[in-house]
Amino acid sequence: MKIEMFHLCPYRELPNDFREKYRSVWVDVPAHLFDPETAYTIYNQTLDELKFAAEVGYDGICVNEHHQNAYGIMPSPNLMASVMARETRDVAIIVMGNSIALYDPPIRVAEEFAMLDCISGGRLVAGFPTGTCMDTAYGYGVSPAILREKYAEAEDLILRAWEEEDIFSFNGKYTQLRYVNIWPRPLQKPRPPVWVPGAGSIETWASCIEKGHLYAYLSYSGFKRGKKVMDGFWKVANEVGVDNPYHAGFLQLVCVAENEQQLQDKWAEHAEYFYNKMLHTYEGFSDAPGYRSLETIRAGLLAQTISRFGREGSDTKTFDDLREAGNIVAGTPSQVTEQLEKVIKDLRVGHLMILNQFGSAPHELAKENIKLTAEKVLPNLRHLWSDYEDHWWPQNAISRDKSTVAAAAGG
Amino acid sequence: MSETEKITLNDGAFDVEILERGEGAPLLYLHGVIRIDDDPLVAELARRHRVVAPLLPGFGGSTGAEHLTDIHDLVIYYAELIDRLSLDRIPLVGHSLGGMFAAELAAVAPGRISHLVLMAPFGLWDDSAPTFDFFAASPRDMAKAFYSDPNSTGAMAIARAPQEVATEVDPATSEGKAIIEHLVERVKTMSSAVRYLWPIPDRGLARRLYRLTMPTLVIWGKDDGVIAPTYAELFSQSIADAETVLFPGAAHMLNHEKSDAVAAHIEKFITA
Repeated sequence: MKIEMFHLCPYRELPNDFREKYRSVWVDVPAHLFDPETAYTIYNQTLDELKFAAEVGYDGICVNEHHQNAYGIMPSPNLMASVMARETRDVAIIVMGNSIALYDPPIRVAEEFAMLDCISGGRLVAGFPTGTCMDTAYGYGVSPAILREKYAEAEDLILRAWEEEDIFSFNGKYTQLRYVNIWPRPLQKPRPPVWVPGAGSIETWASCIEKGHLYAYLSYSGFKRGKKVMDGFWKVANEVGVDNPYHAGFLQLVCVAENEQQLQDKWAEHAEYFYNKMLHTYEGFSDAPGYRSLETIRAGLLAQTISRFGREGSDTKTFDDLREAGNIVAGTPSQVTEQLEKVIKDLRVGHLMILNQFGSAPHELAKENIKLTAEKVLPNLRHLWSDYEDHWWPQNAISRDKSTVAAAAGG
Repeated sequence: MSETEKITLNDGAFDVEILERGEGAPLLYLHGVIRIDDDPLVAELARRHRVVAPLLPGFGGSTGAEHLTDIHDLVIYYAELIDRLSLDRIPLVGHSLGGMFAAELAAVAPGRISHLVLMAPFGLWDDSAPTFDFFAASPRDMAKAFYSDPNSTGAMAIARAPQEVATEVDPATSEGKAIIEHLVERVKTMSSAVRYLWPIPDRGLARRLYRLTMPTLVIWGKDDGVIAPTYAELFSQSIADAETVLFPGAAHMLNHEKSDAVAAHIEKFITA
């Protein structure tokens, strides 16, 4: 079992009346609410928390990409990953990922990921999300009707740019390049493992299995909805004889405290901040026509992080609601261990991505949660799936003892 | 005469569903981004014309929107269509998205169009008056933008469109089925529209308007909340022989709200 710490890098200072006053945390979140000095603190504390997670025993650290979004202020996760490539030694650096349909030409992603792989000594996991409707259709103006086709073409180009030994020409519908020849090439051969974060589009399941990419269901809806989605994935997988749990990953919000009173005192407000403010997204941005395929709609899987037209502000959730619904796994170390073991087995996932900082949780509390989870929960879960091999983990990473790194750094 | 026929273009890449109404000299009619059944303007025009109204790609039985990548593909599609229907030197009436398509076709094949009627067409962009982002709008806001009278049946039909009432629906229930059917229809029609309207409904038509040399009538609803009536002037000032008429008491759906007056004006324009 591999367990990774996932950080969204949320903006923690939204006003108390955000939900009542503004319609969306995403796309048209008011610019005047952004204070760069606050962001200075948040970015640096986020980097510290990621590094701390690596130090206390997480297997990997994850960053992701969002645009015009207050709950995730990393439009370029590669910048964060680049810092981590230097600041950490052994953990996997999981960029979850770059929305490859947004980059023209997409070899920019092939180049930056290859740089990250070289700088980190072969520890990169390359995430290729389609990107949410808010990020892609609204934030970056890509027509939702062509997004998935553009994504498929970009993926083809990037994988070939990494894997082919000779210069080649690429005559695509969206990208034409006479000489494809990226420098640098990734350190991992033939390439870094590819993880595909999905939000529940069913066509992603078959494509991940066919291409051998890891499928990661990233949702804030918790393990109860997650079960439905992962059952769908495994049904498709089992039809072609695929059953390795490491083929799949899942994101879960987790908070650990020594007792129930501490849990309530320390975490309730931050959990409620995340779900009631940070997921307050205007419904009109969640589902541009063509973003979701007809197959996904026919399966009844609709958008997930949205407010309802005309009902904004009316369906706030309490910490207890969120625990009850499975959005958050919260408890003492033994309670959390027990619940996560059940999640891991029920969903059959070999990779669990844990959000230890979420909402308005301050730095010291986030670190406390990271430490408790890493030291008192993770060791009791690692034994799971030991009969299987993880083919989706960075291979052949260069062994980097301190002297080598210092020498490489010019010390 | 009232019939529906279906033809295929480009070796089966496209099915085109074509409604025909009335008898007389032919008139080609391209509907708007919201198509209503039994368009009253078509009925009015059919009193004196054989109205040929192909459904835009993605609407009804017209398929193949995914094969139309750009304006070049689009005008070839329509050029082939009018060839197949043996339509020549005909009046062309286009509304909304269909108005944009009509203007693009007329710019490429001006000799084929005797008179051009542009009813609140998309195709231009003015920073000081952005078009309404109806892809992101709530059904109620849409109704207000498209209709002058929010209590009219057309406006109510938009405002009461089934909404996503849950993050997931059960396809086995009748409520779930209705929501899914609505969403599927929305995706088919609107994902065709986004090819020309996303993220800004401007594919360079301004560079081609000088080619509209035929007599052109630009008409707009005074209450249009989708494309402001100020766009009427933007169009007509770039078209050599253009007449502009604004209709009070109508918004974007002026074909629905003022079909009598609009039809009368179109007839007068064509026969003048």
